[in-house]
Amino acid sequence: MQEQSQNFKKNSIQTKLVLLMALILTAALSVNLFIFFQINAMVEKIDSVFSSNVTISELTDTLELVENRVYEYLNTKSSTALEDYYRYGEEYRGLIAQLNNQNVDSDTKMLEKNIRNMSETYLEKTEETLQAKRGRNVERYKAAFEEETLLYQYINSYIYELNCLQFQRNSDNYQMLLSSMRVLELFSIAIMVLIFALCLWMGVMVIRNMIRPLIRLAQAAHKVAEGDFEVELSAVAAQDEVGIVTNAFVQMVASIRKYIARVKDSLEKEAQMKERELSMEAHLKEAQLRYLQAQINPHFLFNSLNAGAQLAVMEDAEQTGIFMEKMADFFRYNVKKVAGDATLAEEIEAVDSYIYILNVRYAGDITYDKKIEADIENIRMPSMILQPIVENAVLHGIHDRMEEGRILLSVEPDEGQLRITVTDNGVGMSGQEIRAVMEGTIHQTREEGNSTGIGLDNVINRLKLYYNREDLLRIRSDGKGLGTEVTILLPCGEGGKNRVSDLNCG
Amino acid sequence: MKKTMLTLTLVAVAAVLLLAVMWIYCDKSIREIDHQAGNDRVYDRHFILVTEDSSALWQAVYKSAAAEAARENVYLEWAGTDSLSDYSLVDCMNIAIASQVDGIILQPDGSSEITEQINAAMNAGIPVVTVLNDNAESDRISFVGVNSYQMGEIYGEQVLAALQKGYNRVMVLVNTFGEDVNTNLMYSRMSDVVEQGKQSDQQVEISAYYIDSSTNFEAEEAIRKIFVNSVILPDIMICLDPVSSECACQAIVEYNKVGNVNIIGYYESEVTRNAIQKGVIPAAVTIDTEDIGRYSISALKEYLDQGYVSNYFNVDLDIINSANVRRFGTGQ
Repeated sequence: MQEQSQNFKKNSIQTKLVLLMALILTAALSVNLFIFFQINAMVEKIDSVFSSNVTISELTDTLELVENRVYEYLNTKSSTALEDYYRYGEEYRGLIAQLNNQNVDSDTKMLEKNIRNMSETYLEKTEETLQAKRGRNVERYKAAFEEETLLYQYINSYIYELNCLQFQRNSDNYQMLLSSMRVLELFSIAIMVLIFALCLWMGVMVIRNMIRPLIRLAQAAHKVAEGDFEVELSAVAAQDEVGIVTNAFVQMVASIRKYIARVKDSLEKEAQMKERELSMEAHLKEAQLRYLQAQINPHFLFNSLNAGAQLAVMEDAEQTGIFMEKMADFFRYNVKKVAGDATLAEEIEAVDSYIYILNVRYAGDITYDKKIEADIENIRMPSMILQPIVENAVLHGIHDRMEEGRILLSVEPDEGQLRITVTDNGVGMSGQEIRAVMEGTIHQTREEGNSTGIGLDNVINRLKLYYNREDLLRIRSDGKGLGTEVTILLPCGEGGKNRVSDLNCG
Repeated sequence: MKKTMLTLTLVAVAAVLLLAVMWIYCDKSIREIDHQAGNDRVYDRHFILVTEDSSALWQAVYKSAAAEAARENVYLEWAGTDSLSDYSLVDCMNIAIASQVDGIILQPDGSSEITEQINAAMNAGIPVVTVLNDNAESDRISFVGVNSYQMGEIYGEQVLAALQKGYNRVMVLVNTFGEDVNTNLMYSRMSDVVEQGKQSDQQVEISAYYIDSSTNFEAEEAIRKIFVNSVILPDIMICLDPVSSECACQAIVEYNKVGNVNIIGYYESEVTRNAIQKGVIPAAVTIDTEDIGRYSISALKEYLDQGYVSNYFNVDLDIINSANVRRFGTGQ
């Protein structure tokens, strides 16, 4: 049974449906044939039942013909009548030969036997009558005719009786067969209904078994289409088209799942690597900072400078006091803002302090001008940007001609941006130098005593990271001895970290 | 899955069972029709019983004879009973001879035509046994019936028992059909018994009343006439055939003559038994129909097998009265 079921599952849908249809049709056909056979048997029986009456009627007709011919011959001695007599006599003999001649326990059969025997006696008697007529024995043929007429009446009477009996019996049989036919009809209907229900059920079961995996497959496909690859779809035992598609789908989903897992894994690894890289960079920066911080304890320095400033004020050395204060401000700003952002005003203030310090150091040789045409209080930008640029202009531009050195810091709006320009009239830069600086291939030494330690490459990178844009810093120089102009373009209302949405950018 | 298969199998089995029941039913119906035509038992011989009446007595005789015939593998036909035509005794004999039966059991009517027919049958090789009424002058092979002498004695005894003091009129209802030597013998013996047995203070006048049996319903008409005519109404009425007996039982009640007329009936028909049970009539003489049937068949068979047979088979007589009436009609 199990094996048959397995074999059935191996078939294709077409084969399954053909087998099912064949089964249903065979069942229906067999039942129909059976019912037809039964009904046919009944009908044949009814037919045979009534055919006996027909045979009996033939007997009466032929007997009458015989009797008439005998009478005719006796009456006219016609040779035609005699010929007819012999013909009909033979015919009648043939008919009575079909009747029962045995002693059977049946009143109709015994009637048949009596008719047959009486008929034989009758035919003998008619022969005797005709012989007597031919022998012109009038007395004898008249007496014989009377006897055979009497027999003719008896036979007719018996045939009539047999006919009536048969008819009555046939009617009873017909009634019985009719009622049997009605029962048969009910049986047939019941069986047909049962077979129909059976076939329908079988059909439903087989089709459901075929469709069920398809529905599960459709549901699974729908889930997969929605992005859920965690569908639970077991492999199907059936090896029809649906089974093949389902199994292929299961394999496909498993493959996709594996592929996704692999991709996810590699992405995770990549992210981890990137994170590690960033972390290393941060740690490096932090290390650098800590290194710098370790070089000097800024608080001690600020406090010392403040103490110096107060001392200078007490000793009425006002210039010294201001100098000390600026120094303190500059270094405080330098330490405090090195990791965050600041306002443009703070940046410019840091530049002011730096220039003041330099001027004290170099006895006021640097000419420093500012041209501010924007609201600098509300503009935030990365800290320690302007001071390194100015420092660069001082150290590399006007360092050797400090007495003539001139630095101009201008802030102005420019087409939705803020343009900050640091211009010096120093030694200028060649194109190659400018490219090297912009590409970050020149690394300035941080050990110089006049430097705060932040190079231009650092400035460029921080601007790039802060605004997520290139080309925010430009260097222009017309050549050696023709000074340098460094321009920073601060974007207004765009860039990841610009908080100056209400900035007056002209 | 298993449950589904089980249900599926059950439904299939139900369908097959239904088909089987249907097949059995059809087969049974067809067999029943075939069976109606006869059970197809084939007999060796075909005997025919020829009687003029089909009273309870003859029905009982036919029943016992048919049973005996079946035992001897003989088919027994009762001529004229199922027939649509009203055949006379002669017609029945003619038919029996023309039908070439193997034997005839006949209750002759004493007519010369019947004697001729018996002889014709014997000539045709068909043995004839006469029953209850004999036809001694014919070539019949045997007679199965009661001993008339004995019957006269029994009737005489019953008459003696019913006699009253003084003058008694005894009327014997004689059916012309059965009027023969035997009836005369019976009548004669009865008269002797009564004459010898009567008391000195009893006078008895025995007369015979003939009922013409050539026409139908004559017995009932004749008996009615007796009961309405007080001049001829007897004190004791003797019936010698079952029909007269039943008619007399009916008439005595109808004309309120119970106690006035003592009827001595004939045969244990239901009407007669009821009359005896209720005291309407004192007694009835009955014959053993079992014996008649059995002897008739045996006589024919013996003759056909051996070529000779006893000329006479005596059938026992019995008296039914209020003391033993319960014994009859229950197969005893």
